Amino acid sequence: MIQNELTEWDEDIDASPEEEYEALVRAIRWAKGFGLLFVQCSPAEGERFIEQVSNSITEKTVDVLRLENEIADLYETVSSHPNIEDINVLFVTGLEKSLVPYIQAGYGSEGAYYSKDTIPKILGKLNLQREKFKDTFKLCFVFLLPRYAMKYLTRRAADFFDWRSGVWEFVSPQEELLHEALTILQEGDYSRYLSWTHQERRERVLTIDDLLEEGEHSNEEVSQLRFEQGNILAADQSYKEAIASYDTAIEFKPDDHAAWYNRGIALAALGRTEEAIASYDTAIEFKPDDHAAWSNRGIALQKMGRNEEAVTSLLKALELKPKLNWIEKIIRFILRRFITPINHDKPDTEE
Amino acid sequence: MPTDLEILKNIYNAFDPFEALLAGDPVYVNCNEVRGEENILVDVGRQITYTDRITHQLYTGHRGAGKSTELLRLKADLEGQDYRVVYFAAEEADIDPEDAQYTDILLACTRNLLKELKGNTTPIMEWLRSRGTELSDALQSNVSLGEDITVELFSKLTTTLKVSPTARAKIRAMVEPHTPSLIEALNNFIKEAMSKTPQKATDRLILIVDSLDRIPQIVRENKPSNHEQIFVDRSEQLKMLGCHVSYTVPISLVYSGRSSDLRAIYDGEIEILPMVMVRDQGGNVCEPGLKAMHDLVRQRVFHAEGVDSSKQLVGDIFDTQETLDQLCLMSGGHMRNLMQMAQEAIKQTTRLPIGKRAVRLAITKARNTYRNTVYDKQWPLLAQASQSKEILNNEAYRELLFNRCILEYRYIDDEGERISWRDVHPLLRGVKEFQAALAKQVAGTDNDEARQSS
Repeated sequence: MIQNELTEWDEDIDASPEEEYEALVRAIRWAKGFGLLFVQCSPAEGERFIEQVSNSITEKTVDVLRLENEIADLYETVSSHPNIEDINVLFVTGLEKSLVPYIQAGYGSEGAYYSKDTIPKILGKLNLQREKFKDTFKLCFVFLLPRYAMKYLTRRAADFFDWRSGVWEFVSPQEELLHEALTILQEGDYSRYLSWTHQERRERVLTIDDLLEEGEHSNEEVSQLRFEQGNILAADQSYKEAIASYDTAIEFKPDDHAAWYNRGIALAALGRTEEAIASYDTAIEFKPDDHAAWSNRGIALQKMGRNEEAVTSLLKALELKPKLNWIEKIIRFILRRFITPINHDKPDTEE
Repeated sequence: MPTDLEILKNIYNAFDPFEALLAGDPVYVNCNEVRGEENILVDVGRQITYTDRITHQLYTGHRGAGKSTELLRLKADLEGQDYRVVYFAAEEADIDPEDAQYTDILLACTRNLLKELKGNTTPIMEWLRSRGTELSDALQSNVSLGEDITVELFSKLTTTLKVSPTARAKIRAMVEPHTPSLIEALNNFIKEAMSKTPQKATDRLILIVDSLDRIPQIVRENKPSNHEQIFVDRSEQLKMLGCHVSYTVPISLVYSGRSSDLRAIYDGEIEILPMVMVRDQGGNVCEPGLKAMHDLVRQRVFHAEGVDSSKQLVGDIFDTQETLDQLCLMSGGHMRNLMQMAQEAIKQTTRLPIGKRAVRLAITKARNTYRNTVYDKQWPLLAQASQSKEILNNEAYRELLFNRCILEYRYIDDEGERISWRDVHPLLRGVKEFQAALAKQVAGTDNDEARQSS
């Protein structure tokens, strides 16, 4: 059956950020009693909105509810907000904190992203609470959310979201996105990631996803950001997802030895030793003097029972970095236990 | 004279997307004809009024299609025929969305019947007494089992269900093995309470349970979904109530592999509220459907404060007929979509009439929201559905129905036969991912891929 032709009505048109902002202000100004508005923006932009709107809408009482942690019941939280009965407009930030623990992150596994085997407590409640919200709070809610949270809300709290009187999407200016990317890269440090909480890591992983979706980035930047994402995921012991991030990093910068090397470590952590060795091999191909790649490769080879090769690889690491005592020790251990003919024991670490 | 901005503000509020209309609301527009003679008063109502026995029916439809509005209309109609109707919308106090179970629904029914019927609560009280210490244990407080506190106790039970997961487990453990005796007590209560009403018999009592379609679906591997567990596996309990009951169910369940089970278990056809048919299967505009949507807009606009009847819908409120038509057509005949796009267009406007650009912006935004709900792997399925106007009965398609990316329409053909068909939401047609999937589909290269991902 032939579809009728598309017309101009099927084409998107763009509103300028100013027009969008004006429409948002009108929606807030016009709201009579209960209303739900959703604004997708960066946290920084959100703060600017709150200030701007509070300054321009003087005829209404505007307040902000900042959610700093995961909450289970938004209704309860709003109820206990000070002077809630006098407020006409309530901005709500940080709702994403209650979603993050449920979002299965990971590039390329969109299905798992919005997994259906659980529902965040808060969203399940919101679907059934909407009447109560409407009947209790005669005020206009303005939810400020990052992209990933908005998507999640659309899909998993559809009933609540369906009562909206408007949704806005503000993409931060390009220079701001670049700045954010830079901050992420500057903060990029594996030991720092290790000190973060699970929640902090998850949030950062999702923020990187959003950033890549919103801004225009060079291949180099995409690769760097995915590399960091992989490191955060590795610190979170989510090795499968980490590998997916490293894969993308490599896709955008095939000679990125660090990505190949870290990918090897993640594979090794999953027990995929053979693939790990291949990944180290590639890392070494692009950076032959990387002692860490040589030593990890050596250990992986030993795990496969390829003891002679293991020793060769470890010796190479030692040659590049002579002061690594532990490598020397391992070499001696392997030689004594597996290679020297006087050893009568059977190798017991072979798998 | 109110200013344009004041009028716009009033119209904006008249299009609020969240109020279900009460029966007899002047802004209600009857859409039976353009929903394929769907008529809740006939389809669900007569099932009740024409039989001597008690019926248990299911009702469903897309989110925001107007289900609650229709159910409230049914209530008023049956009350007009001297039936006693108890309507309630399940709320968060009743159901734990993460772990909803049929016991929660039964308790909610009990609570609402107790509240509404005001009969002699002794049978229920006795049941509670027979539970003994289990009860005070579950409520985490000592309860005195006086005469007139049954109603109170039941609201306490349901609130306790809500606040404390451990208490919930206890209450369920208390109720579950004794469900038959609870239902029996409830049925005795109903019988007694009804005997004191002018309607006398229990088959003159109808319980309408709304909002159960909002229980979020939870799917676990190799296990029936929570929806199936509640409405299929535990249907026996849901069917034991001694009065007519109409439950709303999630639309995706009705299209699931269990739909034939549902049809066998519950009475009558499962009634699905379809969309208003604004286009036919060939994509041509259906004038009656479009007119119904116009009427909907007109009713809302002219009920807004400050809009006097001298104004013209086209000319004064909307700039051209085309602008109004496209607003209606792009909604796909879906009520809440129409409301939301209208609100959006009004917000983009500072001076009457509402123009093309404002409506196009509203359409663009609505399209973006729909686009966000579609997973990458679903585009080929949508392309397929748009070609065949059919959907296969599998999980992948059900999700698209649930998301309203595929809409259901109905009409009566020349032989008087009811024909149901489905189409992709008109908003999605312009999305480039959809067009790409469609092009692939037409080229015939995508069949395998679509089958794989489904």
